[in-house]
Amino acid sequence: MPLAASASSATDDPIILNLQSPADSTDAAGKPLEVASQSGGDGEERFEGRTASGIPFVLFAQSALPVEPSTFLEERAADPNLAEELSALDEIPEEYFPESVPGDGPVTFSRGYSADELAFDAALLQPTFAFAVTPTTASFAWEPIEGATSYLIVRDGEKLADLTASSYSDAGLKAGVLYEYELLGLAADGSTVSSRTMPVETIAATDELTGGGTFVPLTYQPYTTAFTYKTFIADAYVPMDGFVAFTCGQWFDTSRFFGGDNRSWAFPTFAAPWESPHYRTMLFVNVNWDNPAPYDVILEGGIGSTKLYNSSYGLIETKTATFADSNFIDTYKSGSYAQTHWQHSVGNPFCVLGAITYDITVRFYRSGTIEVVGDREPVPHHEAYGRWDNGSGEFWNTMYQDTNDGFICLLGYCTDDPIILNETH
Amino acid sequence: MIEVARERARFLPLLAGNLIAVALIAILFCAQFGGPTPLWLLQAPYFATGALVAIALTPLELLLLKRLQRHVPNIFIEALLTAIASTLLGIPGGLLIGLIGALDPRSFVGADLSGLGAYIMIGGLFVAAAGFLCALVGRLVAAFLVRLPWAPLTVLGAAALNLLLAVVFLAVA
Repeated sequence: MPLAASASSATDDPIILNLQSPADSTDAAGKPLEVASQSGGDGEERFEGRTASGIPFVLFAQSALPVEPSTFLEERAADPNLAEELSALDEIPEEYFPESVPGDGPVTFSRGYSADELAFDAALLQPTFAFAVTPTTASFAWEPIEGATSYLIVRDGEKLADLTASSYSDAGLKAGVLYEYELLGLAADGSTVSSRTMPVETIAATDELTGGGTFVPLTYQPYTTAFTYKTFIADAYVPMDGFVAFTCGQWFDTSRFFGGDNRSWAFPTFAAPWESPHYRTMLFVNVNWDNPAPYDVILEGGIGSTKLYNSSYGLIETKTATFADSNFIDTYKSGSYAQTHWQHSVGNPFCVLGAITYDITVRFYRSGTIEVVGDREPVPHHEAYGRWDNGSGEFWNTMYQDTNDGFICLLGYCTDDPIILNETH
Repeated sequence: MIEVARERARFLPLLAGNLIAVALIAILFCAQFGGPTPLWLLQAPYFATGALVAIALTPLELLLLKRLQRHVPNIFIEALLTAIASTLLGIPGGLLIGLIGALDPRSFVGADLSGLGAYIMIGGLFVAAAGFLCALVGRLVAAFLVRLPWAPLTVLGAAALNLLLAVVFLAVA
């Protein structure tokens, strides 16, 4: 029997979430929820039903593989009971070093992963986030964010709370209304170390929750979800001083320049998001949820060529770095979760020192969440975009844009910028 | 087993040994670059830079060696101790590189001197490493050269040609 929301009262009590065991969440009085249906799969589950007092609810629980599964696996290897589990994981290729050849144009690679390469042990998943809605409430619970000492909750641009606990409930909402929530992790100095943005729709009186009902609090990604991360040098030309010239094979000839990408932030194109505009480095991943043939996950990578100019901006030579110092590891996928881990380090092919460096894990959830966890050396400009499908078509959205703190940071001298982003559409 | 005679260190063989070490460092360093200039030409100015420093500091090294020879049992320890002492060059070297970086408007050192530490530290480490290798290799090579009266002058002649090549590099560049 479908669960219509009409039984809801005007002032529901919020769901009290149990992040570690979402099915054991309770109502405000501590009474267990009556789960009518459970769907989803490894990495993301959806529960719906009623509270003990008859209030309809929908609950989403997300989990993820640890950022460094390899380390995690080593820890688990100490447990002999898990040997069988681990042997299956050992069969997954964890590292992939694409071959590339220096040349005048960009160096690119493309790799597709089939389902058998992407399988992982669901027992390794750890809860990361859960939320629940009733007609007039929304509840959130999350794993504490490293580096965050407090959390700021914002709804539709309005600050709701600044708290140290890693859960929050919002009451007094209107039924059937779409709200935009932001959960910001703040460091002790007030700076933002993480952000999570998500639209949350409360249950409307007309919603039928089971049997293929109409209520979907998040979007459902019908076909594909994609993500791209690019670095670029905004300047057209980058001068060099004596130190740089010396370590880049120009002795002390400071009259020369390296070419930049001469652009600002730029959205990926729909037709070929892994191509133009110009970039220093580019990575693109496409997760194919419904039509995996021939590949469930496709990685595309590129490194832009580096140009050396003389004092009158005449081109002297073009060279391109390779992926030799980069790793693409821990790429996994289930029916509702996917992830990939990029350790990207690309130096100037003319120089002996310095590299553009970032290390990120990108997680995808079928409900429309893309999460990025990692850090970067703050040089040059970095930009990241996600691609979602809201049912009526695909669209790209900006996830991350951060500027160049100075080329001195290429030497690894600057403090890494943390990147902890989570966006849902 | 190779036996290295423990000759008393003399200026010309030591300078020749140091110049051979500088040439090796310059060639290995320049081999890392992917630039358009051929290695045989590119190494010349890098060699010239190191050679000038070596010429200026070899008398000091000789002084140190003469004092060390009274106290250490063999040439390898002598060379190692000299090399360790030569790493101290990293301090003035790093400070000099930092100063040049701070004064150069094209430098990546910010107006608020942010990044200056990187220049001093990385430049200092580079100079210290070069000083260590040069002193170590230079002293050991000098021990062989001292037995061949013609060898130091031959090395110095080759070094002079390489310095001329550096002038050609500057003219071409």
